[in-house]
Amino acid sequence: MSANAWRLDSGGRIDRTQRLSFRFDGSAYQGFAGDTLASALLANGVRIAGRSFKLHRPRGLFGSWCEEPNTIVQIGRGADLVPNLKATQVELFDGLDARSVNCWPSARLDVFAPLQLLAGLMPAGFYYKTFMWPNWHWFEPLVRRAAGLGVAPTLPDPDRYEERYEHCDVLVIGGGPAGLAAALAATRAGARIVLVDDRPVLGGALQWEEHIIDGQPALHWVSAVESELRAAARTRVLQRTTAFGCYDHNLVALCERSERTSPTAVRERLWHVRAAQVVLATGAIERPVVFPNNDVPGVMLASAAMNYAVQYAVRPGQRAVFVTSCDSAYDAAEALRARGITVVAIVDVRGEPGDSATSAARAGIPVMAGYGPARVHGARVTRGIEVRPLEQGAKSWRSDHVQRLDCDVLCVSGGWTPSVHLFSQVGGRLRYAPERAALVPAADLSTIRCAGSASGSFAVQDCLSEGFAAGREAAHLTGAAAECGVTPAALAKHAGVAPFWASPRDRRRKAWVDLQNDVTRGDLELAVRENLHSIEHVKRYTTAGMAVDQGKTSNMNALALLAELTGRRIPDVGTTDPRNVSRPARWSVLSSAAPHAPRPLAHRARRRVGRLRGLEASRLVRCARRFPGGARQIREARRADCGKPFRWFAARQNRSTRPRRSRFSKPHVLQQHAHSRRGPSPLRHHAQRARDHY
Amino acid sequence: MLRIPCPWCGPRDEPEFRWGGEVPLVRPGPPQAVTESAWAEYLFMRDNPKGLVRERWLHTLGCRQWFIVVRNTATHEIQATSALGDPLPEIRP
Ligand SMILES: [Zn+2]
Repeated sequence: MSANAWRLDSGGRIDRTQRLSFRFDGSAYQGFAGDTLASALLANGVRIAGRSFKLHRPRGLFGSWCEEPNTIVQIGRGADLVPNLKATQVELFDGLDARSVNCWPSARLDVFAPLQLLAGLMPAGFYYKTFMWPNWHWFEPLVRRAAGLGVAPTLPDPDRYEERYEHCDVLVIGGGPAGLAAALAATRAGARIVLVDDRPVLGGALQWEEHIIDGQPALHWVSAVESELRAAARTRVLQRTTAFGCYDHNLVALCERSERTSPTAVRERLWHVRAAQVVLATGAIERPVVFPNNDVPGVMLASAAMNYAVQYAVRPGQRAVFVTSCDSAYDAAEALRARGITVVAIVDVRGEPGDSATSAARAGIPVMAGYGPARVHGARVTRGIEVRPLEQGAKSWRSDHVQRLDCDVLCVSGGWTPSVHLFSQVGGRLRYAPERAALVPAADLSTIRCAGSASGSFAVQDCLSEGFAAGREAAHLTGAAAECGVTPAALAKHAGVAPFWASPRDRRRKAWVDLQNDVTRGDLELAVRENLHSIEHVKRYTTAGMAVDQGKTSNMNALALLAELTGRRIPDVGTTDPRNVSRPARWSVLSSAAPHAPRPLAHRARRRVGRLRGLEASRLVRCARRFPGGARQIREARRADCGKPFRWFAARQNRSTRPRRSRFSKPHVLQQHAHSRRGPSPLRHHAQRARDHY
Repeated sequence: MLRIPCPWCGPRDEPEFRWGGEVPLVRPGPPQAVTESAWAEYLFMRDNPKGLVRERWLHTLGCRQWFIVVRNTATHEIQATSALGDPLPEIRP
């Protein structure tokens, strides 16, 4: 295939005068300055860019930024080797040498691919079962070799890392419409602010969505705001900087990546920012829909397809079908159509999609309202999709009439999931908002507020007004009360959405919930059959949401499906807490404080994270957090909680969901242990009791 | 990492401090008269409630003074601090 065959002839925010050569899995390709590795691969027609973690199924690009579950790469060699990067977040540079992981010799020709045929032998939690029978140690070497993402470098890291401390009045995390508006308001109010954005360019989704803000194209507004912020003396703008942890008392840890201008330049910098007020404008991540074969290369998020087409001028395919339950996909379809890609149809699961559908139909895009995806055709690349009419409420099919649409890219959008990882880390509570089909922050904390898509307001006009108000309020609370000017306003866009998580069940085919860890809908059902009902148990048993992307695209669907399987409402299922260090950060930068200390790197990195977490990491506090319920004292809590049996391996052969007692649920064992006397001294008995407490 | 307002030095980061346990904690005595269970109670058993608790902290890398902090164990909010000689701060629910 000739170079950049999938590149559009014009447009995009890439520099076509600057050609960059790179290698992927040993083959040479070319891209342009401004590309990411992912967009350059797509432009070169690389469809299979990774292999799945467990079954080695072929996978293609699915997202366009941190949500990407499939395309994990490692770049460089020797001491420069960096594993566990998402191709979507690697900025292309000349001479880049990237390899896909978890496959050999390449993602396209993977010798482990036949593992798919053994899928039946590896249901959810199969390795837990080998702990019991026949013997985990037979399987361990095999599993350990077959699993794993990438190789850790064995040579010492030659690069320089730094750390810095910073204090500010208002820390704004996220440089999209809400974040920029918040930073603008806080700057004008006269506060000392830090604006953090993890992309190479400010603007967030404004880089590829088309909006009119304050009467001008969105990107003009972005550059006007950027120059105002950069001109302000008390404002610091950090780009390519990821806020990966939010800790007690508004301590936020940031990791700033440098553009590698010289070999001796600092490669990454760890920032400790202590802010009086934090505005989280972290945006939202589009959510896929669960239906059979939804992991074939060519299936991608609608926002990603739009991002590739608009920002990078790359055709995600020649013929696109959209499957959606929300309005934002209509904008994506329109953007693709305007760039010469045939939009075969927009399949909207809603019976009455509203104004967006009317205007799409007027523009000549066929809209199939009330249809749902039945299955994807194709194995190594998408060849088409079968759609079927849905019953009202989208819980079952209305008829057997199946219609096949031929396409080579299938753009899915099941709504948006606010990125609230940092908010949850500091103890923020979430509530389920059915009208937005999302878990949104229930209430702002006293010094931390969410704005824009992160708080569930997905329309651009709401992002701007909420962001501006949040920035102004935060600045006022720190005593900066100058006039902020007029709230930026955008031409309103629709952001309607209906909850739709999965197509009606098709027992013959696998429907993927978590792409990175190969978790299917069947795995969730198995877990429920085996009597795991708590989301925390199901997550660990099936490993849904436990991959390196921490379930950015899968958690919400897994949660909704679990609610459906157990006959509960979504709020009753609860959520899992995102871990601290919410984006992968290198050990080198985490241990940057003492680069030549005698301890091993990993040890220093772990200690650093422990220090950031502070008291939260101490056993004492974990005890207090573990037991729910008012001011219940630990003595009562232990008495109450230790009596509860865990029913981990309830018999599988009996496929009922009735709670069964298995031989592993022996509550009395724990109690016996706690009350047994070991040795002659009663003091030791008390020490034992105390250990059980803490 | 907490930010703890030392009554003498002002707000400082947590690594400068050492935690000293809940107060009030009264050592039983005289030693000969104390039963083993009373010792165990004094040595090992703490209330550790979920919510506000009064505890001692030592500003090890600062003024090296002990002082009292009222902290919420669930949210880490610090409600009040007071120097050791002062009356114990009230817990406001
Ligand atoms: Zn002090």
